[in-house]
Amino acid sequence: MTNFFCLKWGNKYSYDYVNRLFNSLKKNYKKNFNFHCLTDDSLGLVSDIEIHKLPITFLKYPRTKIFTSEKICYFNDFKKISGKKAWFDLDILIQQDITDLIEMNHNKPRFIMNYWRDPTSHLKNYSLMTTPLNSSFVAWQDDVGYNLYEDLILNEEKAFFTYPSFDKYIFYQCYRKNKINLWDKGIVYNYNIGAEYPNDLEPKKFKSEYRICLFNTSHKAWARPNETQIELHESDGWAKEMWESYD
Amino acid sequence: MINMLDYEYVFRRFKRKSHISLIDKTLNCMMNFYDNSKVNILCSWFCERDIFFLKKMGYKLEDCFFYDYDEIVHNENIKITNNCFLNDIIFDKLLIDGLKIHRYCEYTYPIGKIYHGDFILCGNDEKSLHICNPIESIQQLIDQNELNEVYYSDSWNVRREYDSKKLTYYMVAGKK
Repeated sequence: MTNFFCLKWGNKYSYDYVNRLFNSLKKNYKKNFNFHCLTDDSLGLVSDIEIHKLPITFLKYPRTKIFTSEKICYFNDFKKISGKKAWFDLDILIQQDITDLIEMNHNKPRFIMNYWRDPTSHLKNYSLMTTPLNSSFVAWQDDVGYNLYEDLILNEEKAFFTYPSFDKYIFYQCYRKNKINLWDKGIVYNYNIGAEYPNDLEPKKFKSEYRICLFNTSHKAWARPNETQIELHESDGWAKEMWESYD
Repeated sequence: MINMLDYEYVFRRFKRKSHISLIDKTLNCMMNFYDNSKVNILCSWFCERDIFFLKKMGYKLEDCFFYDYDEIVHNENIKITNNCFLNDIIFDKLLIDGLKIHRYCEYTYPIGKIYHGDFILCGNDEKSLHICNPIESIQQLIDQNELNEVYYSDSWNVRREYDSKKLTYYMVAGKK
């Protein structure tokens, strides 16, 4: 059985985000699955969703360090469940069938590469902690990825001292050591930026050939003038329509 | 394939006065306070100037080692010396003997918590998302790196060329 996961904490995203993500998977994944939500507030979540408490493994570190480090706990807390697994950020829109993506062989956890960013910028700014990686949609299987969790446990003091975000930690310590795989181009794009640098960078445009659309707005500080910072619940037109269709 | 011309601005960073003075001050300190035959430059950045002066000072280049995790930097350094390593000095398991010079302590976890021996440590007080450890005093360098002997310390102000930002650098030579 396949298992899907998401995290919901605080009040940035409502329960609609979780319920619609669940329903979008029911539509776009053609096999049976369990859906788990790790949360501090399960109010409003539909009853088919399995509720878990948020991981507390790294609670002693401030939230500003390896922000969303909870994600790496999936590799430990659910390692005994066999089969295909994936986690999803809440601010994404699944547009098409993703069954084949989940069913692929995932001998390493598979992360998103931000193909909408200049592929040389992270090379040129390596020491400035620029990351081209994104952890909004990650797939793995069985106990794959446990080594990443173990590495973080072994290096937690150094890692939480050094890295402000989970994606930066994964890029500098896991991607550098070839411990993760990446989704190919043509699967994920960014609503607020576009799909591929440098020729396909039109924000807000529907790209029907892509499977997943991200809405993450964490690039605000260094956004180019034409980029938008619209959250999924603030969107209109095709995005709003598709999101609401998952009610 | 990335055109090397794209990297020109990376090389320009290396030629900044603030960076050159950092190299010169640390090598001068090394000459005055240490007689180790082995020298390790951690987070070396481009090593051309280091090598030029280390040779002049009479160091054998086979005893000088350069560590940097930036591939662009490494690919340039390897043209000058085989003793350069593409490593993250904090997270990779490395055995490093001899004097360790670390000029960018503001970017890293304190190396004194990982390695022992002789150190020359520098860092500045810049605060930014990519800076995990702004250095705001000589005492901070001593305490963080658990130095139990201090031979020399210094601090100086710099007006950074490209954004006119005023930074204060702190330097300590010591032993753990």
